[in-house]
Amino acid sequence: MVAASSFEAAFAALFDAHFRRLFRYLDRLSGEPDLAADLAQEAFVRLYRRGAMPDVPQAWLVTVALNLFRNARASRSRRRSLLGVVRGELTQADPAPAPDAALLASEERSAVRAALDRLPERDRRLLLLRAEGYSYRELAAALRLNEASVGVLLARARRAFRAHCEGWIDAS
Amino acid sequence: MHLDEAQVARLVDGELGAEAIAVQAHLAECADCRARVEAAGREVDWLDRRLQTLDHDPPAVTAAVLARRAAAPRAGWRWRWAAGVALAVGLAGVAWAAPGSPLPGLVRRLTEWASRGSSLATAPVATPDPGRRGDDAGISVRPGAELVIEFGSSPAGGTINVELTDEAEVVVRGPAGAATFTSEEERVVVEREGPPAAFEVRVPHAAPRVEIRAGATRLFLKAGDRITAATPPVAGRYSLTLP
Repeated sequence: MVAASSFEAAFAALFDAHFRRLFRYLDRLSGEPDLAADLAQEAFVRLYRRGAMPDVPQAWLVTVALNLFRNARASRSRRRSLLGVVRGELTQADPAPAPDAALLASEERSAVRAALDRLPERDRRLLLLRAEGYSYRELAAALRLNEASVGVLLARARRAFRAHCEGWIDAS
Repeated sequence: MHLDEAQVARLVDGELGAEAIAVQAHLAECADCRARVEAAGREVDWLDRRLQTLDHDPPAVTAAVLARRAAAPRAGWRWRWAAGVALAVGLAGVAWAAPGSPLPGLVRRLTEWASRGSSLATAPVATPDPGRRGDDAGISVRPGAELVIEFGSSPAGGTINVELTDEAEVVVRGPAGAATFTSEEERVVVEREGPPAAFEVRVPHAAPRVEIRAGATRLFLKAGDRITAATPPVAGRYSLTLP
């Protein structure tokens, strides 16, 4: 009983500290807040069912969430290829006329999304995880990288992201 | 000697550790490196602001809610079953359409056999031939920190040939019809059907931990570079016997 309540306390503390940033990471990665919410919750549900804390819980959660994301994307891709559904047809309604500020914000979001999408997958994940404050150790564990190389990879990913944004966004 | 790219990144990210004193001492004397660090810091701030434009509100959920959800009986065997059927149909469609797929020919032969009026009792029983890649079925998964491949314990018999590769994914393959393959988080389950068969498992050298089990018996474990197997390797391959 002591072990169980200890695990539950650790689970609650981990949730408080990391759920929001795991959600935000997945939201930024996928561009789909509903999917990100599902994946973040499912990752924590699986951790609870595991009944014990992994060595690096934050990295474990990221790994599980990324596996779930990959599976969701793969099954959706299968469905799309079988049914011939174009995502945009389902999700994009005619936008209402937007005020200038909203239009600019929307354009900036599109440019940021496009710049992220142009990064190699590893760099995109690295950049987004670091932006959520994950430590180099956690990044290395979650993405199976050598911790000593995380700094250089991050610096290059940031530079590439900025270069992809140039011309779209004021880089000052 | 200026700071290198990695040191600047670690400084900006607060990850310097033991080298912090030396780096700070260098910065106190080097205007060029101070400028690089300031530019790198501005870049991180700029990047954070850009990424914030993508954000949405997180769902209103608590740890207690998720704990209750996790502890509740898994509702959905019907859903799982239905999802399994849907997945099987989808995969069959993909397999049908795949170049070189044996499925169209198989169905054609089945149709021809049925139209000849043969009885089930006299129908020829296909013998799985592991050498024929076209008749293989299987699954490939990218291994995370750990992966367990579980072979169902019934029926007894059959072999697993394990080979280490430089590929990125773990591949589990067997003769079509010999098993069903399902993938879960950190787990691949092989439910054996029909007569004993030869399976093939390809394990990436880079996979941190891969274990192969049959029921409660561990047949193979790769933990880092260390391998423990029920039988020694021959020509780099492990031939395991399924209990």
